[in-house]
Amino acid sequence: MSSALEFEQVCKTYPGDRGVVLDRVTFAVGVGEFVVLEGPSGSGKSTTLHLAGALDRPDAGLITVHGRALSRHRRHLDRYRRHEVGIIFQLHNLLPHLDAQQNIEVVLLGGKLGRSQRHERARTLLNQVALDAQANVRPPELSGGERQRIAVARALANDPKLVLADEPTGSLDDETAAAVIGLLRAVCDAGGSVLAVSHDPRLTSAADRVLQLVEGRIVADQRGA
Amino acid sequence: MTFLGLIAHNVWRRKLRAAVTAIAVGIGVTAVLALGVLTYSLRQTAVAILRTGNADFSVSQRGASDVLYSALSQDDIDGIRKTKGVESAVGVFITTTKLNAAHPFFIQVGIRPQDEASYGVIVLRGRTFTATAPHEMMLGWRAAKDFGVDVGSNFKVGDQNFRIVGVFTTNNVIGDTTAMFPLTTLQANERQPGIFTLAFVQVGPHVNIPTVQKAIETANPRLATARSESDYGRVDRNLVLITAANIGGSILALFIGATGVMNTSLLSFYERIREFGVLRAVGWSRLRLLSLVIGEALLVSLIGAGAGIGVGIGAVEGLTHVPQLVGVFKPTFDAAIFGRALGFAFGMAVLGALYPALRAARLTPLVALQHE
Repeated sequence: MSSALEFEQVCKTYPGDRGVVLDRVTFAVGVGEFVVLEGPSGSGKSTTLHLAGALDRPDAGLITVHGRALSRHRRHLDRYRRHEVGIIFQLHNLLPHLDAQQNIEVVLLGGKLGRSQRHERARTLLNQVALDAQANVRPPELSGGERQRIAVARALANDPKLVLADEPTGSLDDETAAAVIGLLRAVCDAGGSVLAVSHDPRLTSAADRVLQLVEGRIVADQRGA
Repeated sequence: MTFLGLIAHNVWRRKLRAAVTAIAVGIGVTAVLALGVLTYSLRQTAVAILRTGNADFSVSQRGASDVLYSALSQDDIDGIRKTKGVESAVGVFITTTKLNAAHPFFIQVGIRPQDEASYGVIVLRGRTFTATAPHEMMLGWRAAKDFGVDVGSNFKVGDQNFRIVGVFTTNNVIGDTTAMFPLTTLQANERQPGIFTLAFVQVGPHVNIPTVQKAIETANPRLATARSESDYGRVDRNLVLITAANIGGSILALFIGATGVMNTSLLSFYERIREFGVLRAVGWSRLRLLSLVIGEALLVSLIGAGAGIGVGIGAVEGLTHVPQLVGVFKPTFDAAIFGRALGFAFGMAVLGALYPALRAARLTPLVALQHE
């Protein structure tokens, strides 16, 4: 299986009390694979996602996405974030002044799609997360689960080949969590890959592999259920 | 949603702040427009006086504070006539008088009847005055229309009564609103016998005009010649001062307006760091973020410019009723003045928003996302 995402001896240290967060982390996520990264708080899970999403840079080591070194793409990181990766944030990070539809369309601005195509794409994604009726509702007026689903829809807007998700089902009821897991699984079925950080057994049980991260090191790599 | 729609949306969600910034920009644009129209119009009036007639160039006293305060002697006129290449030099005496509240600066021109043709005067009705007639005058056709008088009417200037013997045109707006008198009559009435204000010079065929101008100024350093519009500043210091005040005032207004825009944009930047982080995290380029922030400032500035231009036109209209400007200030709006006002608004937006926009564009996505 070829790799969608590969970490090779990646290190990350933050100044102050946090110190070494990732210590020579090495792992790979294959094409079409659904991998969950779990571990205790402060083990470096979110940092791993941030590095994979090019939101931050490693101090050492190599991160490759579909065979291309991320750290060498410094001038093309915007393009990478725009076209190759979709990120689902734990805190959703939706823009509160835009409605659900606009939160998805804003990602598509400046791309190849025209106005009506952007509108149509956002509508389709809202339909996939069963939020058609809330298209014109702003995030503060939505429940946590609804916001999470919009965040998922937004991450999928540019049809990314790699989806990074930080606790995507943590605050969701079983039915909604199953729907979100279904969407992530659909990404893998379509040839994409998913790396999710989670403590949620509903998600780990749906994963192809589960990586255990403890004190900045991968200590276990298990096949999923 | 479109990019422009997002810009408008972001401006609208901070309506009050945007309105205050637009007002600041509007005040600046009003100042620039009013100063620009005032300067342009006064310049046009001065230039029109200097351009009246069929002359190749005009000659006045160098360094006069106002072209109408220029004083040339008969010897100066004779010296100009003797300059190699000069075909004719017409000496005219120009002064202003207050006729009434509506005409506080009525222009009077003293000229010899035989020089009228060289000066470009065409008698439309009646005849010209005789050279030494003490109570004869001619009126430009616009002035005649304005005062409701014609050939044969009496016309009072100060304590003296004149009879209008002719109505003329010079094919020049300012020239056609003036009155003409026999040269010696006007000089005597103004107690300035033998004094001329300007000389209008025509050169012979195939003569190099700048060479003749230089020869006149070299022979008599107290004289200044003016041919092009840019030369007129040399012969009218007031014009130079007004133009300088216009430029200085505009630059000052630009910086004050830009400071207002920057204040708003910086406040907005600090409030929206997390929002910018989200946009960067979902793939917005630095350039797109830069365009968003500057685009918002541009939109606010354009709204301010629209309001400022409207108020500016009203302010200029108001200036025409200022007693000191009645009769002298005839507002002239041209495309360049509006273009300058819009350019000014554009400048304020870019100058004021550039720093906050650059800061927004340089944000590291993760740092911005973690901003509280």
